[in-house]
Amino acid sequence: MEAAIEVLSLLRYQALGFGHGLGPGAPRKKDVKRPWKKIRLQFADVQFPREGDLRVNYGESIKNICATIVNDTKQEISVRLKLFIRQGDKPIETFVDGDLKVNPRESSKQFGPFETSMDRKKYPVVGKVTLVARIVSLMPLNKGETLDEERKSFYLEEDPPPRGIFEDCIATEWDTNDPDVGHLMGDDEPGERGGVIIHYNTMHPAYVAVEDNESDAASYLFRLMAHVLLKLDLQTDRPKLFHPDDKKDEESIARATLRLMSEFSFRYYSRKISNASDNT
Amino acid sequence: MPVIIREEILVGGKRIPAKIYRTESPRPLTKSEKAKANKLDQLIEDKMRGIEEEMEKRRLLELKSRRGVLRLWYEVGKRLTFVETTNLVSAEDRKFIWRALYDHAGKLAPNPPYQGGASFQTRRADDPRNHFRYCYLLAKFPNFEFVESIGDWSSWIDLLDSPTVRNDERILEWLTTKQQINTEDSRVDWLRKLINGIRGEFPAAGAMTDTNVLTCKELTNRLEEVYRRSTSKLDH
Repeated sequence: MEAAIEVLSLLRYQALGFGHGLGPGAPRKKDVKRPWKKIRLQFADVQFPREGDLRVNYGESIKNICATIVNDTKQEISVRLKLFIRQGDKPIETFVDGDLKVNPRESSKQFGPFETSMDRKKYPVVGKVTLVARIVSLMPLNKGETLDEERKSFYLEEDPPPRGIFEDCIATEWDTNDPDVGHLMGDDEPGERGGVIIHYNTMHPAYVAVEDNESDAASYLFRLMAHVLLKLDLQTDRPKLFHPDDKKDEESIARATLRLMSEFSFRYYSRKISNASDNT
Repeated sequence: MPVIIREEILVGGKRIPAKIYRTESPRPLTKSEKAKANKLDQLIEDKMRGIEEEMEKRRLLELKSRRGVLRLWYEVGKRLTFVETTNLVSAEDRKFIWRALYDHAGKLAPNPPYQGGASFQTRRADDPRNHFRYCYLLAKFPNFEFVESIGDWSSWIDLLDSPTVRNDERILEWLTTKQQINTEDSRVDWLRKLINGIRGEFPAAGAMTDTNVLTCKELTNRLEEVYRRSTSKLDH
C-alpha cells in the first residue's frame, strides 16, 4: 500500500497543487517555524543509513546522535538533560541522563556523538522509533518545568508514512447485504488534518479475492484511492485533474475519468514493475 | 497486528455499523492479519465475560452508580493485565485494545450504559482517557485501602486525567497524608479543588512539568503550598 499512497501523494502534490502539508488544510504544526527559545536544545544532523531516508533496517546503525544546550539568557542555568530513544511510551535506550550548568550566553559541550545499532533484541518491535532530547529546569524558580524538547523520528523496517491527501486507509467490515452501500468497495470521510480517510470494505468479494497477497491488495487499494481522488477533484471548485471541458456533460466526465485512471495506472504499474526488476 | 473496534461510520452518505481494524501499520490487511485480529477479539470477549461473571457472583456489579463503586473498578482493573501481556497484538497497536474493551463490556460498561454510539465514541480510539485503562492504573496499587484513602472513583478520574500525577507516585502518597480533613460532607469538593490546584501547579501541557527532578522535600513544599491555597479558598 505504501506504493499506492506514494504515487497518489505525488499526484496530489504535482497535480492538485494543494501545496506542502497534508491535504488542502492548514500547514502542519511542524511546518510552522517556531521562534527560537532562549534556552534550547540543538540536535546535530543524525546520520541514517541512507541519506534522506528515515527507514532503518535491522543490522543498520544510526550515528552522530548528539545534543547541545544553548543558553541565550543573562543567567547561568541549571538543567537536567535526557537524551534517549523510545518506542511509543517505552524508553528503549538512554544516552545521557544528567544534571549540568550552562554559563550565560554560552552553549554546553556537545553530548555525543553516540551511535546505536538496530538489533532485534533491543528493538523487538518494528515501526516508529523516536529519538528524544529533553531539558528540565533545576532552578528554584521553575524547577521541574520542561524548558525544551526536540524529537526526531525514524522507522524501523518500515517506510515512513508518506504525506498526502490520504491521512489513513482503514480496513473495515460492513454488511455486504446492505441494500444501499453493501456493494461499495469503500468510501472517504474528512480526516483530522484537512485530508481524507478511506474506509475499504474487506468483505467485498473483490478484496477477498486479493487479501491473500499484500502486493495485490495494495494494487486494489491504489485503484480505489485513485477513484476517490478523482471524485474529490470533481467536487472541488478548482479542479486540478479534470479540465473545464471534461465537465461539460456526463460523457465527457466518463471519458476524462478513463483517461485519468489510465494515466494513474500507467504510472503506478510502471513503478511497480521497475521496483520488481530492481529487486531481482 | 490490528485490533478490532466497532463504530458507526459514514459510507455512501449512510451511517452504518462497522468493524474497524485499527492499526498503526500502513500495510493492507491480509487474510492472516485479519485472522489474528479476530482471535484477539475473541480473547477480549472471553476475558470480559469472565470478569463480568466474577463481578456478578461477588455482587460487586451492584455497586455501579453507588458509593463504593471504586471497589468494583479496582477489582476489574486487576483482571485487565492481559491487555499489557497478550502477544496477539503489536506494541504500537496495543493502545487500541483499551477502546476495544468497550465493545465487549456488557454489564461492565461504565454509566451511562454503552449503547453502540455512546459518548466515548467521540473520543479517538487511542485516547489515553479511557475508563478501563483507569481501572487498570488504579489496580497497579497493590493495596485497596491506600486507593480508597485517596478518594472516590470520580476523584480518581480527576487524578488520572493528569499525566503529571500518573508519572509521580509521590504525589499520591502525599495525598493520603491529607485524609485527616476527610469529613464526609466536604471531601469531594476539598479533593477536587486540591487536584485542580495540583494540575495547575504542575501543568502537563505547554511548559510540561517533570516532577521527578524535585526532591521529596521540594515536592512536598510545593504540594503543601497548593494545599494551603486550595483550602483557604474553601474557607471563603
